[in-house]
Amino acid sequence: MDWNTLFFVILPYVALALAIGVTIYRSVYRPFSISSLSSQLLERRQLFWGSISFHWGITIILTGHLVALFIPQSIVLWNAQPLRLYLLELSGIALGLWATAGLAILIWRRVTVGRIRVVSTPMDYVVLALLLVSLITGVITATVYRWGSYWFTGIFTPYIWSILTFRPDAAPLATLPLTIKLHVFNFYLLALAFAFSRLVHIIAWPLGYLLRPWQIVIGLRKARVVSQE
Amino acid sequence: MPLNSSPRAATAGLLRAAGLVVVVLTCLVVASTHADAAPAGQAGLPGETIFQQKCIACHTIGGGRLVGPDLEGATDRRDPAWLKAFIAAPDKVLASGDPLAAQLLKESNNVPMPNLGLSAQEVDAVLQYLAAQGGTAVGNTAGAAQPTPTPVTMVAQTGDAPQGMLLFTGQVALQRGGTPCIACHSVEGAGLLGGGALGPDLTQVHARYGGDQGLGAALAGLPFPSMQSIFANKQLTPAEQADLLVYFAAADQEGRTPLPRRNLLVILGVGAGLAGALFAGMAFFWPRQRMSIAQRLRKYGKL
Repeated sequence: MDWNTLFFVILPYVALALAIGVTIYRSVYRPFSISSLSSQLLERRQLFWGSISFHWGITIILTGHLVALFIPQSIVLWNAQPLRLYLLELSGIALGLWATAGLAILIWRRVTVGRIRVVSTPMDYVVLALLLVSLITGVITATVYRWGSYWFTGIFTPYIWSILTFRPDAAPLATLPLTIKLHVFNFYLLALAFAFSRLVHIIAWPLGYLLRPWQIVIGLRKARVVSQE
Repeated sequence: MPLNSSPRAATAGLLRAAGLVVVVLTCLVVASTHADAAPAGQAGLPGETIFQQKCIACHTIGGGRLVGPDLEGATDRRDPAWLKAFIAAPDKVLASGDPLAAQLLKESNNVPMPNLGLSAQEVDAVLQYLAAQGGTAVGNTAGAAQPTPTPVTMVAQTGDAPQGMLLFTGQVALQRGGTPCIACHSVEGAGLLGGGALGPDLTQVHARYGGDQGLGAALAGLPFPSMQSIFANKQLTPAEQADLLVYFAAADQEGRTPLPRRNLLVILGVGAGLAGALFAGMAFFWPRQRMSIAQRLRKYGKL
């Protein structure tokens, strides 16, 4: 039993089992809690700069990880020309920095805006901290230990498949630099926190909003105040 | 999750979080003790097999030195306890300031012997094999004690440097599906922003590994712990080894200086610039979202 096995074989199963199991429990018994509890009505200016950059950046990067996991050959073929490799890597780094800056704005907002601080739970801060570690270690991995898009297909694609197919083999990770290990370990912490935090809102896809008729919400109380004036 | 944020709800949330941590830790501890009980995956491979797989790229027995020393008689030359410790964890022995390890490092063009992750049993097996191959047999009863020079996989000098460069950069795929070198390694002159930086720079690898013979053996076996899982079933073909060898030799002769720091700064600079452009794009393309529908209605009289 070594640290490598504990962190990269056992922890993933514990984290993924809890993430899936508790999320199902929560969506069945606490369906209305599958939300991130929007604070847009409390503060919207900083939210715009933080939320849009963070969410678009992190979503595209996460998609990139998933593409490398599910269709690694597409990445390998794309990277076969160094210029295309650089294009992909620079895009990833730009998105990573964009998301990191956005997250920094969101953290700043949550700490400094009184109205937001009041509605914050301890778990909100935990999630922000984990995401910050994830982004910073990710950007370091992408720059200092480049070219991640390429070696991911040789190291992490087989590793993650070994976990998903219940034939775990964490040996490829044993010799990696600490920063990359921390990036992976931190992902499992995020998976652990997933079902117990606002992160569950990831499974809520508001696709209905694209199809339903528009509606305008009118605040009656305010209207009454206006009419009294 | 608490939908309101009263102190009581927050306390309850904290308690629940603490409970979760306890549950997870318990799971981890139980799981790890269970994993302890399981048999260790690789129980003793025979010494010869280990030698062929992990040592042959840098060492011969009676065939002269490659990157590392000729191991003929090594079990006689060195203190057994030292040998055992060094083979098990060369990185640790070197880090401990061991003078002999430092001297060997110098003799090996400063290429440190990697930690091969051998178990104590496997180290013993290798030592027995070495002893049987020409040192004093330690508990060896087999008759195979003749010092037969280990056949070194020599790469034919038929390589083609431009083809080697294409293999290095991945423009020509490795036949058995291995990840191209550029993913982790850099050779100055290959690619505008250089190669990867996860592994060491290979611009001068030909000289460091003692020329054709040493580097050829390394390319044949790729005995580096971080590469083994990637290339376990995807070894380089002899033709690929030859092309890469000639390419590395040519790159070394060009005598360029690797510039990893310049590449890193360029990458970070361009990345930060693009991120700034994305923020500028937000200001340009998303301005309406900063106002609520109600504000927009009040300001413009329409949506």
